[in-house]
Amino acid sequence: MSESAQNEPMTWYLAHKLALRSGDQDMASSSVEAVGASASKDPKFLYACCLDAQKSGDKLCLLKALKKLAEKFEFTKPGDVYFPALLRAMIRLQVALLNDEEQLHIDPATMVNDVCETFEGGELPIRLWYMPRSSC
Amino acid sequence: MLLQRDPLEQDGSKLFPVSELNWFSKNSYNLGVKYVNQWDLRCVARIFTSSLSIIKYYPRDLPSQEMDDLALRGMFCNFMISTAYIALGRAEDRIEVRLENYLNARKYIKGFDEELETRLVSMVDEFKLDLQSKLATLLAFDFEAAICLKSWDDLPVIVRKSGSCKDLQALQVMGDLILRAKTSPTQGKVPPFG
Repeated sequence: MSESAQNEPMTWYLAHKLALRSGDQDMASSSVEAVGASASKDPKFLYACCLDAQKSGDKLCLLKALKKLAEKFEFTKPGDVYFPALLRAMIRLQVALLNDEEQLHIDPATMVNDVCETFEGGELPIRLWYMPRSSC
Repeated sequence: MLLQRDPLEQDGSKLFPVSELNWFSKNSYNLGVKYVNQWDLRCVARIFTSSLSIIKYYPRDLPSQEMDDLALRGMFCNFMISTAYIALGRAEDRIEVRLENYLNARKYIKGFDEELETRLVSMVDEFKLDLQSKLATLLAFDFEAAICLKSWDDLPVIVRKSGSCKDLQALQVMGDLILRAKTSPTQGKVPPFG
């Protein structure tokens, strides 16, 4: 892999950090998408995005970063990413956003659908846990 | 049978932590109970289905109190899911979707019935009465769904089961449903009751 390709996630991670600082949710969203889309199999960039979003206090940005992490690593067997914990974090956020009356621009129907989807995703890590080792 | 997992996998590997299963199954269940009157019924059905789907991953050698709790949770999930699908079926104009809702309702009513039958012998009386009354309610729904799906052969079976629940109201509801089915021009021919 060329150097420029390797630096890609780092560049977008920085863009995400800047977007959070300036409160630009759209930019944060597209940056975290780009980090996720990079070829890197290392979850550290997305983890870092999650931590930054958490520090910023922007629940929607945090949820987006966690979702991206979940999307990218949902099919991995227990390893770098402990999926149940990730799903729990997402669910807690989604429920908090549902109950948060100040989040006026969120469509409650979409958030309800999201919660259901996340719980439905909860079965996958269990099935993967029991998959025969020989399939690795 | 709701529980399928053997305590020891063939290669001796560990089971998925029960604490995790509890978190997902219980929290989805609790959310469903909390928001049953507020959420879209399809989401209500989904969240209880999530809770139910986790139950089959529990080991079968848990203490009996926990096994009973699991069975109860499973049955309540079946009850809530089937009730949601009945309501969805009734409110639906599109015929294929309506039939699908009623079909789903029947599936989860069957789940409730089968689990209850397995557990009834060992159950405490206080729960027995409540669950049998829930079964009577579900059988009336099952009857309604069977009529809509034109599953005429199932009707006498449902009535017989209701008879053993000794719930007069449920039987009255069924009588009313069959009368309406006979006189409804869209229902086609209804065979006589055996």
